[in-house]
This record gives sequence, C-alpha cells and structure tokens, in this order.
Amino acid sequence: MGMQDSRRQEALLLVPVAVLLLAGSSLYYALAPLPENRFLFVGAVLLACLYYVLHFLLVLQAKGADQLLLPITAMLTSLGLIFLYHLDPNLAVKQWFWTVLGLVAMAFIILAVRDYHWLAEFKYTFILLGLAFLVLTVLIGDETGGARSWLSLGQFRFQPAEVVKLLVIIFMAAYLSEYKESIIGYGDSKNPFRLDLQGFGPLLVVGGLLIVLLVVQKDLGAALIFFGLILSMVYVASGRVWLVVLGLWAFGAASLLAYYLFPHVQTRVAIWYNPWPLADGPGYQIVQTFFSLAQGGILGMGVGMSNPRFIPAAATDFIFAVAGGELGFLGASLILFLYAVIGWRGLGAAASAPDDFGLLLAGGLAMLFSLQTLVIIGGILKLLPLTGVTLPLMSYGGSSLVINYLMLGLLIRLTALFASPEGTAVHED
Amino acid sequence: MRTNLLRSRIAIILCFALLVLALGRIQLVERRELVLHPANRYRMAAENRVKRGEIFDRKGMPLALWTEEGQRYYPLSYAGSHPIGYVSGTLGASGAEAWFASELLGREGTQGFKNFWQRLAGGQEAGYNIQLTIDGNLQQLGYSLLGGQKGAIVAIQPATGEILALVSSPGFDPNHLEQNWNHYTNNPEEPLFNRALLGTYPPGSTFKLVVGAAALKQDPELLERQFECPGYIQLEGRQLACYQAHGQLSFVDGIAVSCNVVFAQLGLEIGEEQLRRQAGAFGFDQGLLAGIPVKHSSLGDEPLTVNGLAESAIGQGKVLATPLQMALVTAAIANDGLLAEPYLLRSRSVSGATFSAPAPVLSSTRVLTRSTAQVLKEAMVGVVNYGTGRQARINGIQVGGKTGSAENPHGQAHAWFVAFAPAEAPEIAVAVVVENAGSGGGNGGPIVRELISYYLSSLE
Repeated sequence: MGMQDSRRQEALLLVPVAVLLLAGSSLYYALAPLPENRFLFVGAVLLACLYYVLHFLLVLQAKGADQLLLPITAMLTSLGLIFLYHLDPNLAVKQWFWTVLGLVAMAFIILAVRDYHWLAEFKYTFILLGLAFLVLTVLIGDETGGARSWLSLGQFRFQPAEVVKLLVIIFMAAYLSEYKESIIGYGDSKNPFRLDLQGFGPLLVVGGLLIVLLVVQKDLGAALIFFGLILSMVYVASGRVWLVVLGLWAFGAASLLAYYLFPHVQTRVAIWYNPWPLADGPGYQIVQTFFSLAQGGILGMGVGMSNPRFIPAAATDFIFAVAGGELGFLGASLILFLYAVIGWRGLGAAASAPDDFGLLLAGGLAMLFSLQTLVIIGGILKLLPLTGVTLPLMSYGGSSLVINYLMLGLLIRLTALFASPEGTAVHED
Repeated sequence: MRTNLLRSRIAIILCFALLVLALGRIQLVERRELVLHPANRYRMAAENRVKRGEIFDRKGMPLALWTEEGQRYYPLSYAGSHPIGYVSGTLGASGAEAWFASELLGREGTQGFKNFWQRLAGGQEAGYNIQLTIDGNLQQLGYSLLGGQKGAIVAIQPATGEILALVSSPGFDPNHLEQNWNHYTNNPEEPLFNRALLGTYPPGSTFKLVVGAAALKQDPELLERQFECPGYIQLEGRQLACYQAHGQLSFVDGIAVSCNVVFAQLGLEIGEEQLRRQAGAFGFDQGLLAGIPVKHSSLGDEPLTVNGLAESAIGQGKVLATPLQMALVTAAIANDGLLAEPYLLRSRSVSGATFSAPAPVLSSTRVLTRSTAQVLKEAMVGVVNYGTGRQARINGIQVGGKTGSAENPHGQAHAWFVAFAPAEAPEIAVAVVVENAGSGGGNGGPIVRELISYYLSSLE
C-alpha cells in the first residue's frame, strides 16, 4: 500500500456523498417547500463539509490510512439519513446530531491513538468493565421491544452492548496474541486436539458469561454476534477448524436448549421456518419486509416513495427493507457491496499488521462490522432467524452510530499505523 | 494468522454473495407472487388510488358497480358470486374482480399510460369498465334452478366460446362478505369454492361422448356394427354391470340408452393412447381459460389397467372432469367439431356501459371431423328424443344431450346433463352437475330444459 500524501481517491469519493446529501435535501425540500425546511440544505452542506474536515485531518495526521473506509462510511450514513427523514424527520434530525458526535469521536480516536499497543495492557480492565456494564443492564436496565438492553442515566439512554463490543474486541485481541503459544500449540504437540485449559479457561469463562448475560437480557441478536466474533477471532488466532466445529456444535446444542426453554425463541424459529401462517401476528414484520422488497423490484419505488408505516421498526432493525424497497435490487445490492468492501478492506489491512495484536484488533473490528451486517440482513432476508440488531451506520440509534464511528475511526487509524514506515514490518503467522 | 485471516475474509465475502442471492430471490424471482399477494398492503394502497372500473354483463346489465355511498355493489348477489367475485381491503379479491384486475384498475392499454401521468400529476386514476360474456339473467336462472344444492352449471356459445353462465352453488353474498367470512370459510358446503372451474367430478356417462369421438375416428364402419349387451361385460377378474340387458343395439342406440357394455368394449378396442389423445384434444390436462385458474381435468397419471380402461370409458375410475370441461366437449360437438377457445372478458370501455364490438373469437381448433361431430350430434338428439334425456325435451326446439350418473364415494351418484340447442344451429351448449342428486336425466334434465328455453326465447 503506497503512501499518497494528497489522498486524492478519498477526496474524489467524498464527492458522490456530497451530491447524495444535496440531492436528498433538495428532494425533501421539493416535496415540502416551506421556509422552515431550508435547514435541510444547511444540514446537508454542513455534514458534507464535516466529512471533508475529517478527510483533511487524515491527510495531515494519518497519511497512509485506507482511502475507501471514510467515503463508504459517509455514503452509508448519508443513505441512512435520507431514509430516516422519509420515515420520521425528527429521527433524521436526531441522527444527524449523532453523526456529528460520531465524527467527533472518530476525529478524537484518529488524533489520540498514536500507538495501539498500550490498549493490550488494559485488557482485563476493559473486559471487567464490559461485563460490569452487562451485569448492570441485567440488574437495572430498561426493557424496550422485548429486550432488556438499555441503561438510563437521567434523560440519557444507551445500549451498553454496543460499547461492550469494542471492549471485547480489545480483550480478545490482547489475550489471544499474548497466549497464542498455549492456544495454537502446534510446535510442541503432535495432537491437533490438544487443548490447553490454562490458556483457554479464561476465554471460555469470559465468552460464556458474555453470552449468558446477553441471553438473560433477551438480546439474542447481540449474543449471536458476540458468539460469531469470538469464534472467528479464535479461529484466526489458532487456525484450528475443529474449534470452530466444536463451537458451532455447542452453539447448536445451546440453541436447542433455548428453543425448548423460551417460548419467544420458539416463535422466532417458527417465523423463520414459515412466516406466512403467522402473517397477522408475530410473522407480520418479516412478511411486510418481503412485500416492501418485492415492491422495489429491480429499480425500486424511488426514494421517499415507499410507505414506511407498513413495516414496524422500519427506522432501526428494518431500515434495509426500506432501502431495498425504495432503491430496488440494484440499489440494495450496491449497499451490500459497500458493506462487503468495508469488511474486505478492513481484513486486508489487518493482514498487513506488523504484529499479532494489531492483526487481531483490526481483524476483530472489521469482522464485527461484517458480522453485524450479515446477522441483521440475513434475518431480514430469512436466511437466519430474525434477531433485533441495528444495521451499522444506517439504522437509527445513537449508541450504535457513535460506537460504529469510534470503531471505524480506530480501524482507519490502525490502517495508517500499519502502513507507516516506522511500523516494524515483522509479520508473524 | 495472516492465512487464517485471509481465509475468514473469503468466507465473509461469500456470505455477502449469499445475501445478494437471497435478495435477488425476493426482489426478482418471487417478486410477482409477492406483489400480487392478497395481504400486500402496497397493492391495496395502489388499488385504493384508482377508481376501479365497473362490471357489466353481455347485454349491459350491471354486475358490479359503485353506489352513491362509495360501496361496491353486486346486483346478482349469491347468483353471480363466483364469476364476478368480490374485492375487499382485507380479504383480497376473487372472480372477475381478481382475474381482470389490471383492466379494472387501468394498468394496461391507453388507460395505463393515462394513469401513469395522472399518478405523477397527483390526479385521479381510473380503470376500465368491463363487459363480461356472462348473461346476467341466465346466470341468475341457473343459480335458482340449482335451488341451493351443491353443483355447477356452465353455459357456452358454441360458435364463439363466449361463456354465458358460470354458476356454482351454494354461493355467497358478496355485498356482506366481511361480516360472514368466518361463516363461509367454516361451512362444510364450501360456498366460496368455485365448483364450475375448480370442482372435478367423475363425468360418468357424459364421458361416453369422448370415447365415442375416439371410436368413430378409429373405425369408420362403426355405425354399421351391432353390439350385444347381456347386462354386463366380463373384464379381468370382475364383471362391469350395465343398467339393464340392452340386447342387440347399434352405436347410436348405445349413446341414447347410455349402454355401459358398448362403451367399455369400445374403450378396450381404441386403447388408452387414443382415448387420452381425444380427451387431450377436448382440453383435458390443460388450463382452458387463459389467466384464470381452472383445475385440470384428467384421466389420472398412472397407466391404465384393462379394468381401469373399461371403467374410464364409462366415465368412472380415475377420470375426473370440471363442469367447464364437459361444457367444452359439448360445445365442440355442437359446433361441428370446432372447439372455440372459451373466454369471459368481452370488451372494455373507458367510461359508461357502451361497449365496442365484442372481441373476435380467440381461436378455434378442430378436435373432431365434421362427420364425426354430425354422428355424435344426431346420437345426442336421440338421447333427448327417445333415450335417457327425455326430461330435457322442449316443444318446437330440437335439443341434443347426454346424461350421466357418476358414482362416487360420497353418497348418491352425481347427476350430470350436458346439452346443446337448437340442434340444427346450436346457440348454447350447457353442462350441469348436481352433487349426489342421483340420476342425470331426472335431476339435470329439467334444469337444462329451463335454461335452454329461457336463453333461446331471450334471443328472439
């Protein structure tokens, strides 16, 4: 990856984002040309400028950073804002402020993190903090939409599971890179199934606690994502396929248990298997999602032309159904492509990390981003049982958006650090 | 670690590719089905923007119209409930309201273009008014003649294929559908079920017309032959009984008295392949009405045994036919062997009840030679004049017909009667089936007589 001082590619790729924001605000202004709606243009121009500010920040402070991540992040966020405005203008305004906050968080990370190795020092602090958050949520959390996954601090509410994602990635990356000998253990053993319990013990405890806490909150989507994240990070660190198989087997057994224990899991599975008989009840959402997508066809109904009232939770978990209906197969595939590019570039950058911790950290971030996208869209398209998770960057949600910007900021910063000539280019396998 | 990482990267990209495939399945492959799904609120919202067209019968009598209060009103009520159907925000649509939705909603033709611009300009979209081939009075008469019994009537104009009546009984009240929906769906008599198009019954002796057509094609000397009916025919390991020992009789007599022995024997002589071929020419194993769901009539998927072939030849065994199918067999014979493709939509108009000239005959297929058709016609006239169908006789009008009493596992025989009139230049072909009513002549004959005399007198 060569160094490009001007980061021209990034600057050019932000142009379509600016065009999109302006087109979106013009469209909504044209639909309701009231003087009080002129703020739309201010919002669009301001946001486009802020993305360029971040771009110049990268030019000055992170020259070798990946040039696609920022424009794609900006593009997906802008699309999200456009759909949200159609669903509920108030939500879009709030999301706009969350985006600005996210950009501040991203800028902060890019400026503050000059070296990432110190993060590894605090791995136990981070994971204890993460577990504490989740325990707190179980004890005093609020219940919204069937899941007890919110913490309130006065007026301010947030979903701790979002923060915990970042903490878990740092912990896993640090732990796996530090104890990789006992975990990989190829060198001294001919037995591929040898498992060092001293090495694996803490991982099993932490992973088990995380998932149990999330299942108790009924946040099955987050549990699924954490499980996938831990499993794939263990695979990347150890290269042992049988661990993945074992993990999947354990997951299958646990799911079966959950199926028999919890009626709401049974409902989810029934909807997944065949939503049509339940179309008036619990299957309503997924069936309406299908109608919205089908209505879109190849080219879509057009931005602002769908009827969002047909899909419950359209602004959060089901924003992709709105996008697919309004943009059609071509537009929705393009969105999927953009998400895939983030995963591809992030994992590619991780592969060029000079050390294992960096590799696992960047890899974990990119992996989490992809997994979350796959879980929610897979649920919407009925490839997986539907679990309530947000679509990164596009769904409405402050905690989710800010944390995603924070994590993408860290990823961008890491790609710059990996590419810098000061980075010791010692690749370890 | 790098190798593992790059491997997992490939796995993730493959998962994204899978998402694109799943998306394509919904948005491209299953699209049509989902867009047309009755529970699709997008569809309903789009339909609510359009002033749906009204439906008229062949003479301009309204069958579905808007009242002053904006209610959809169906003047024929129960009698027209199956061919005209209903449209409801919560229950979807059926019958003509569903089959001709794209005309009624102005989605095609010049109205389609006009509505596209209306939609952009925010104006009122309007659909076409349509005219059906149905004769509203005949439809109503047919329904009342069935008197609430389970059954169906299909009447066709033989020369054009225009469907004059499509009765299914019991019907439902399309004007108060939503209140009665549960009652209708739980009713064991299935009032929502369109027996004329979707009900398949053993055709009984009416199927002897198909066997007769195949036999005449194969053996030109058939009319000279004498058959011997001792009251039964010996098959492999069993006897197939006839209604009585008819003694010496000709082919034409065999039709007139509906002799099972003659037709079982003919069935065995012509063989399965020829029989299936002739049935296929009449429309068996086909949809019959373009764009409208019709159950396929069939001789069964399995190859026939000797006994099965003999049973099929008298319309029992595995043979199942819809009332529409048997009406078509009759119409083709009445039309000198030409089968006119049946249809229901006669014409459309942008507004009002003045319709342009009816659509031309879609297509006609020769399914019998003119001479074969002539023989069958004469034999059917014999059925009514001196055979099993005497109850359908009308003074001054020569009717041709064929009775059937189809044995079935649900109780008494289904009464069948197929007929056409006037024999010298048929204006109407009709098929009647009354479930578990007993003999075809006794129960179907009077219905046929009333329908034909009413229809022919209405033409004068």
